[in-house]
Amino acid sequence: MFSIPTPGDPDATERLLGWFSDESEVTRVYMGLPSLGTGRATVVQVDVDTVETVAETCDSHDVDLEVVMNPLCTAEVISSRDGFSEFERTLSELDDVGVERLVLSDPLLIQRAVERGFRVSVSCISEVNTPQRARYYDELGVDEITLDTNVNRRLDVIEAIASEVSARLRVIVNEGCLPDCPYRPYHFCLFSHATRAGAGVTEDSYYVRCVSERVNNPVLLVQQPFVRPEDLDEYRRLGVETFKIAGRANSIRWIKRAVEAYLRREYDGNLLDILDCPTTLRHLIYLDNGELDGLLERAGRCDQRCSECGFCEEVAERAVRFRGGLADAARAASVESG
Amino acid sequence: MPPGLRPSSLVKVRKQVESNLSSLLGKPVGVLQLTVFAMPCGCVGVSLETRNLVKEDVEVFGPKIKELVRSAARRILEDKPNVYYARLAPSGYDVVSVTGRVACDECREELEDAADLLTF
Repeated sequence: MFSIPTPGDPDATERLLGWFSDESEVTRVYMGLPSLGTGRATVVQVDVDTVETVAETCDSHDVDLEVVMNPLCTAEVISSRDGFSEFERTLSELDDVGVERLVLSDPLLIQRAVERGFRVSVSCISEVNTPQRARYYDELGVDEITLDTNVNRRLDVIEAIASEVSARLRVIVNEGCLPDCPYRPYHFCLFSHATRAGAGVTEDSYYVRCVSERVNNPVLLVQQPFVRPEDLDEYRRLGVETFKIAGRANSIRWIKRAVEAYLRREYDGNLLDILDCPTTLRHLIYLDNGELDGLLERAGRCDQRCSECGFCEEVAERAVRFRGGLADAARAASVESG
Repeated sequence: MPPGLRPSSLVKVRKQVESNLSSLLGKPVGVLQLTVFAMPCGCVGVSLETRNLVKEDVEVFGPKIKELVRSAARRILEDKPNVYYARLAPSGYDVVSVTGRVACDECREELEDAADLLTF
């Protein structure tokens, strides 16, 4: 079962769903509603009226709509009566236009939404990465838990969480963030504020740094917590029922390519073509998916003692190739040293 | 259209400057975008959106980086920039872009005083 992204534009959503109208595995579409802030840039203007139009489109294609309101920073909502009232009002408006599914991050907001009858999927921003944290949310009555992407390579942890909760488990398959990214909470906090209407945030320093980290050390590309299309069945065996395709800030052509790869359970080419955030890296670096066969078998049981292992370096040696000017410079350096 | 502004030439210049920056610094430096710009005041220039370039690189290799940007700008603009600067992220560590600009008198003075820019 797949949940696929839409940027939120009704016409784009219609086209996107048209491409997958015969695919029974695409059962949900999600879109950001940035009134409280969200975890990703929302590239088109979205309000509850837009949500209603997109919901009608989803309905006509027999898929469910999930509305994502997952800021990391919820201080303005939680700490004032006005803020919480606005959240309650938004819930009422969404209820009125027929939305049943929400993706939320803050446990207090989740609790209220569940009480009001919404089916809630816990956002990856809530960092559910242990059975204990999963139990907290499970006890709130959530429908589904989207795991912290940092446990995508911790198969033992996924198995343990699956055995401990009654909520469905969902994995984001194509997030291209740094492994155990040190910028992640701060970047999501920045997005919380930057995605709100009237926000004065113009600079995304974390994006600059996270691309630089990978250009400087391409082994990180192998260590990113993506799930290859070829490995979905392994996650199903662990108890994961839903796969979320990241990419709601991208074009629908980009989304189509990523969804098709996961539906086919294979991708022949540069894996960076289908990994979200940052998408620009694919023009600088080629990550040969064919050379990643067998990666999960080893990386999925990784104890992170990298200085004693070297496995990811070996894989990167085979799978990662610079492109463009970076390739020219690497060739020149190798001729000089050879 | 001046030869430097032809699409194939722009693509080639971006690739070459990416390669030359990487060779100069002995580490991969990505150039995500090469931008040619013209301002209402009359300034024109070439800007390179960089990744894995930091302030210290510019401080140490400023003259050489300037040479690379000058060469790229001359091929594209057929003119020589009179101001070169790196735009820093708010932390002051990462270089977001390097620019060669044929600046008007007013902008030239302002650019040299800008807090987020490192002129070189």
